[in-house]
Order: sequence, then C-alpha cells, then structure tokens
Amino acid sequence: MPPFLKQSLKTFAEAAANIRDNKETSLIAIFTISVAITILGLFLLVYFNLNNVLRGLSEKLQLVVYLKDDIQESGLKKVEAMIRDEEKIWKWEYLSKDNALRAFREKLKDKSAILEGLDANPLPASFNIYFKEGYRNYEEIKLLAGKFSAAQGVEDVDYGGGWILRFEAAIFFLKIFITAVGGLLALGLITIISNTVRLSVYSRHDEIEIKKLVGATRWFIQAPFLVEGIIQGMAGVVFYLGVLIIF
Amino acid sequence: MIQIFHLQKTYEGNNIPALSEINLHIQKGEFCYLCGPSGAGKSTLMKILMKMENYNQGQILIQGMNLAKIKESKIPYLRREIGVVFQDFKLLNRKTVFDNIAFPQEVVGKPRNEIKKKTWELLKYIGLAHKKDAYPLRLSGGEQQRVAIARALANDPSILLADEPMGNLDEEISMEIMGLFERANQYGATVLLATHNLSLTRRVMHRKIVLERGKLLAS
Ligand SMILES: Nc1ncnc2c1ncn2[C@@H]1O[C@H](COP(=O)(O)OP(=O)(O)OP(=O)(O)O)[C@@H](O)[C@H]1O
Ligand SMILES: [Mg+2]
Repeated sequence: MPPFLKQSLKTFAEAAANIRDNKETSLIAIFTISVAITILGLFLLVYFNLNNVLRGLSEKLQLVVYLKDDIQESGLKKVEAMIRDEEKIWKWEYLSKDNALRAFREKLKDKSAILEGLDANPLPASFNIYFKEGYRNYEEIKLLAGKFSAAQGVEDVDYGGGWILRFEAAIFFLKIFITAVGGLLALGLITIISNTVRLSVYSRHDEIEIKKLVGATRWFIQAPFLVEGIIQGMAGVVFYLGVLIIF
Repeated sequence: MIQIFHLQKTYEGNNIPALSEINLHIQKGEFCYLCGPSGAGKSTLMKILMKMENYNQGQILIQGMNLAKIKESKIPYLRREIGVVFQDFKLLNRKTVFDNIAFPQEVVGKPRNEIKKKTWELLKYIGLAHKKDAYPLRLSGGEQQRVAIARALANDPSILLADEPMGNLDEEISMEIMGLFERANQYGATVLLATHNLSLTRRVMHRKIVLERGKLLAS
C-alpha cells in the first residue's frame, strides 16, 4: 500500500475512533448539523418559491395600447411595426374590437344581458404588450408608454402606473427582508457550527497539547478533525434526508 | 548541546522576572540536575527550551539551532529532537500503554514494523511489557512515570528534559527511574533533570545547576 493511502486510512480510523470515544459530542454535532441543514433548506425553499411567484407576477406586467376606432389600416401597421422593432418587448397580442367585446362578454358571463341593448361596440381595439425580463419596471414601461401614446391612431395607453410603483416598492422591501433573514441565518449557522467544532476541539484540548509537545505537525493534528467533521457532516445530511423522507 | 546567553524572561503581568541573566552551556551527552526551590524557574527554563514559552532577552542555541529564529512551522521538528517527561505525565488516557509509546513515532512517520519493534524494546526496558494493553489511569504513579519516560525516549531524542520526574514517588521507585535516565544518558542523550530532591542529587553525582528566584546560583 502506498504510504499516502496508509496514512489516510489511519487518519480515517482515528477519526472514527474519536467519534466512538466522544459519542455525546459527536451526536450533538450531527444533530446540530442536521438542524442547520434543515433550516437552510427551508429558507432556500421559501426563497426560490418566492422568487418564482415574483417572476410570475412581473411577467403579467403589461402595457395596453388602445387604438382609435377610426384608425386606418396603415396606422395599425405602423403601430405594429413599432412593436416589432422594440427590443424590450417579450410578447404581444392584438385584440380587435370584436374580440375585445367577446372577451368582455365572457368575463361577464350570465350578466352579459347588460350588453344586450348595445347597437354599437363601445370597446376599442388594443395591443397588449408584455416585457422582457430586465425591462419589467416602472421607468422602462413608462418610457414605452410615452412613445406609443404619441403614435398616430393611438387613443390611450394604460399600464397601471401606480400599481407598478407599489409592486416595485413591495419587492424592494421583500428583497431587503429576505437578504437580512438569509444573512442572519447564515451568521447563526456559522456560529453554531463553529461552536460545535470548538466544543469538539475543547473536549480534546489535552490530547492536542500532547500531540504538539511530541512534535506533531499542524496538519497531523488537524486532519482527524477535518475527517471527523466530514463524517459528521455526512451523517447530519443522512439524518436530515431521513427526516425528510419520514415526513 | 545547549547554549544559553543572557537569558531573561518575565511573564506577562509579573514585574519580577522568572529568569534573569542566565548563562549556561551544557555539553552533548552531559547529565545535569536542575535544582532549586519552588518558583525558582526550573519549569520555565524547560518550557523555553521546548518553545512552549517565549523569552524577552538573550540567545539560545540548541544543536546549533537559534531558538529565536525557528519558524512556527518548524517547531515540531525542534520538539522531535527533545524528549520531555512532564511532572504530570501528560499521557493520552484513552490510548493504551503500547499506543502511548508508539504515538510519537507515528507522529514522525516511522514505518509500522519499526514502531512495533521499538515500542516492544521500550516496554521491556521500563519493565512494563505485561501491561502493554492497560490504560494509563489503571497504572500506579511509578508505572505511569515509566511510560512517560519510554514515550520521551521513543524517537531517540538527543536531549531529554525531565521536570521533577520523581515528584512524589518513594525512594526505591525514584532510584529505578533514575536508572532509566542513566541508561538513556549512556546511550548518548543529553539529560537535564529538574528536581528539588536533595538526597537524590547526593546519592547519584552529576553536575548541578542551581536556580533561585530566577537567578543562576551555581552551575
Ligand atoms: N504561566 C505563568 N504566568 C505567570 N507567571 C508564571 C507562570 N508560570 C510560572 N510563573 C512564575 O514564574 C516563576 C517561576 O515558575 P516555575 O514554574 O518556573 O518555577 P519552578 O522552579 O518550576 O517551581 P516548582 O518547583 O514549584 O515547579 C514563579 O514565580 C511563578 O509564579
Ligand atoms: Mg516546576
């Protein structure tokens, strides 16, 4: 056997013996690590879910460009060309006057009787525009809205300005909150784990001292702790997975 | 060989130095007693030689190595040159007698079969071969002391430091242990033995280095 492998095996055996000899400390360490992983896992779960929700919401941000009833075919083409040329647009759809009315009827369902007496369609045709990621914010949308409202044949634009601002403020604070919680959590976990390590070092400080006095190098002293930490960490993960499977 | 020039050491927070103006030369292969009442500075001197404590002034050369210039990472190699017997033994209580003696040899990376051979030799040397699988706390004080000596000798150190190795052992066992140091010395080790047991220093004659309140009275 090559000496390196022999030494590794010895280190591993020593780490295993240490764990056996310090059952309480090791169990506490394993338990602490699995609790830490559980908390971290829960946090990441919440974090990614929240991120998904936020993305879903921001995908729904839209700019509606209402067209004048008397818009010419050429005017319509011009607005459409503007949309096609616009880099920031993710997708868009055209809603004709008829389709708008149909959609409206569907929305009202049984109450659609209200619309019975209408002899003309009061709803305008529109373009519904959605934005690419990175442009789903108030400033960008307002800029585009301004551009479209100045175009010929456009009656009005609507992008729920106030709502977007409130949405952005909420996301801003949510992000700060999540970062703070995550930071505190990370700090807490680091403290807990470093204390566990300290506990295991402290429970053997006399042994470490003796090793130093007989001329053990730093690496020779630290290696068993490292291996022990890895074994305990893996045991912690296994324990955590076990709990996950049970519940 | 140990050379000490104008050594001065004051522990932090103390105003009286634990050692001052120490000039001392110990030849290779010499056997010296380090005598002096409690608080004289015997342990302090040994700790300095081991680089367990630092010092404020002076120069120390051990086998030509300048103690002040030894890097942190090279301290283990200095300590491998020096075997130490501590007054409180400092054995690893969770390891057997055999493993305690084998331990310093593992530290220096000796091959397994050589470690076995040397450990057996030492066990016979201290007369504890029959207790090789015992744990230190199950041994008498004299037996623990002998294990500590065997461990100090395990890597054939060129210098052997012993801090009151007969602490409170009776006369007969003290003489037995003294015999172990004598033999190590005959094999070539430089021995420095701290003691305040005057009857011992009278019975077995060696050079006496006398400290009192941190000062060298005689050498
Ligand atoms: N860690 C320390 N911090 C502060 N002062 C210390 C420390 N260790 C020793 N001293 C002081 O240094 C002086 C010398 O102590 P040292 O232990 O070297 O004496 P000693 O000769 O070994 O005594 P003894 O025979 O009792 O073991 C004493 O006055 C002691 O109080
Ligand atoms: Mg002392």
